[in-house]
Amino acid sequence: MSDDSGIPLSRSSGWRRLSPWSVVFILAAGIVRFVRENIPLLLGAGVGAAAFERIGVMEVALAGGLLLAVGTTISIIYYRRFRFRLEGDMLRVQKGLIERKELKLQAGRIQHISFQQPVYMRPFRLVRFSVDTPGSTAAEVELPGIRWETAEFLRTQLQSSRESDGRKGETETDSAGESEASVLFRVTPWNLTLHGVASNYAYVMAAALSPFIHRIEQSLAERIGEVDLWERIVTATGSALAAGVVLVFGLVVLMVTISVVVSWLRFHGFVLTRGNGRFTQRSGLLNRQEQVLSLSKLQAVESIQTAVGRMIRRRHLVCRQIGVAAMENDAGARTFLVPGLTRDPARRLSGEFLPDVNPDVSLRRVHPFYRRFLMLRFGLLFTAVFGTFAAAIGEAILLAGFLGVLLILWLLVYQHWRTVGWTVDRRYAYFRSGLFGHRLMMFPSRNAQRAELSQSWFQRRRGVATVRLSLPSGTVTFPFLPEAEARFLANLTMYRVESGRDERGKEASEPTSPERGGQV
Amino acid sequence: MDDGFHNNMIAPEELPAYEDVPLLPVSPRFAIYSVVSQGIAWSIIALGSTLALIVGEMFQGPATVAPFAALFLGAGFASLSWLDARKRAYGLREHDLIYARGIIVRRTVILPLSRVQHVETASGPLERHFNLVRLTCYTAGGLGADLVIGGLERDRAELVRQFLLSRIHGRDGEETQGDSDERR
Repeated sequence: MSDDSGIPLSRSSGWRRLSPWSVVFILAAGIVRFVRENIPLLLGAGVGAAAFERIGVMEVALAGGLLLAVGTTISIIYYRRFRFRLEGDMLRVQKGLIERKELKLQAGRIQHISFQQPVYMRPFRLVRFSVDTPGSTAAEVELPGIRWETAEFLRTQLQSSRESDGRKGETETDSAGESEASVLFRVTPWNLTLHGVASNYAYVMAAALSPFIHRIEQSLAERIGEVDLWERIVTATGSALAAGVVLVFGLVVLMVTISVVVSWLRFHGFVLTRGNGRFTQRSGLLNRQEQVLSLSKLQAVESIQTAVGRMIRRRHLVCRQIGVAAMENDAGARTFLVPGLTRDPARRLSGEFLPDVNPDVSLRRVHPFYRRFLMLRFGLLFTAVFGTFAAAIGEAILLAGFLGVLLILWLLVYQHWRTVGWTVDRRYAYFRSGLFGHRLMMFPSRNAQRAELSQSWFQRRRGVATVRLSLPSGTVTFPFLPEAEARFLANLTMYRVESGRDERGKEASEPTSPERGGQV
Repeated sequence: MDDGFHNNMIAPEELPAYEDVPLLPVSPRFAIYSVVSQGIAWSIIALGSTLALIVGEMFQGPATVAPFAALFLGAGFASLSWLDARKRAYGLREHDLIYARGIIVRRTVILPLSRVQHVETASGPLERHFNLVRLTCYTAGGLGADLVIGGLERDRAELVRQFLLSRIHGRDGEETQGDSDERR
């Protein structure tokens, strides 16, 4: 058995170990994972350490050193027991700390191969090699530190085995003789910055950390003494109003800056290429990663514009693959995302992913009863909580506030109803949702796995129905369609699935519906 | 060039409509099974709350209502189960399986047979007593069951299962044949 330290891997070589440097990477990855999964625990421990004077720097350093020693020992054992080999079209991996595991992954089952190269791996030309299969909720196989050349070799061998295994779906839509990858899209620094401005990374992070802000504030106050920030801003700006404006502006600038930095870290140097029926993207400032998307595994494409994105005319595309529904919360690591797009490149790339798709297709609104239903649901909930409180207190200002909030709620519901839209053309189904932002889901109707039509008592009385189409990448819900249209959508989808046919040869952008007398 | 491939237009009103299919009701015994099943569950809750009252010596106050509330709720849910069971129906077409259920929210699921990867039947002790079986269909990419038809009689469930299995096993060959037909 040899280390992966320069000897080329052959198609049926013996067992091979990871690079010895991978011990460092396993340890680093373990620490990052531990911190990410235990933020509340660590924050609590930090606050506890700050609160108890008996715990000093020495105790903290000792505890840290002990944890590091345990982590290093575990990493070395993991490295010693980890081995892999390629046997024809099968990748075999043996690993395990206490329990010995053997994984066998056949090339035909592979959905997605990705490389990740954190900045500390670059001097050693090492990568983290991950393989996903349809339906798995985490990487099926991960080699946490092999040479770039070995990873390239493994990928080439596994992909060629898959294609020669009769699974030629990937080459179906590829142009004849295409072997060289052609560049489809490169993100410019300006567009990447705008992607950061439009994205909501910082808001999501702020929301996740909000429960701990008070604790951190307390801890800081104990360390450096009480600082009345508000008083200082008011003094500096001269009035409470100006101070409020400055504070809000400062927070927004901070959020946007964080979003832009995250966007640069994640998507710096983003290049999307196409070759041999696969799309490949490479990006990352510190952590260089490569993701591959097989056309045969692609189920749907989502065009997303946040509210800010609509103002600055930027959007991004997200490609949904088989089984991705289960990994929505997987830190976005396996989301195939194309950032920083304007309208025309987004349209062109959508067409590359889904031939003849039309992201600018005109959509039909759902039935107005949808907004009444939403208002009833949210309004009743709000009334039950706040209305009772306001009535009990009996203050006129509270009652006025209650009515004001109800009005705002109605406006939000109305705005959401205006955004929701759907249609089907000769090949694809489209569904848009959102409030001030837009999420347009586009998928071939024939990818549906199942259709469900549901009608509550309220919907039956009003002659409307909700349709849910299940795709291997998740379920798309079309709420409150007129009953005839709901049945049409379900029947048309099933017809396309069961006959395996759509109208590919015909113009794709013309919406089809029973009311317009469209032909399918 | 006539290569045998046809792609004729179909008007929306000519689409095969699932709502035109006369559905078969599930076994009449399923309604009794549902009521008994609900009755057992709520009786256990009522009995448990009664025991708690006796052990805690709480013979007065609002807590004494708990066993009666459990029985009342049980009766309500049992009635709903009865009505729901009477409304459940399924239909097997050449290319899909249809299942309708629900009284307050009526749901109809259409599952194309071409998407079914795996079929299983299962029955608990009470279902076996009533000679009932649950038929579960799974598709690729789904995390759980995509369709569960409860309340089928054992013989009928076996017939449906065999039909589905034959379609799954024959699918690859059928698709290959279909492809070659289209190319011819």
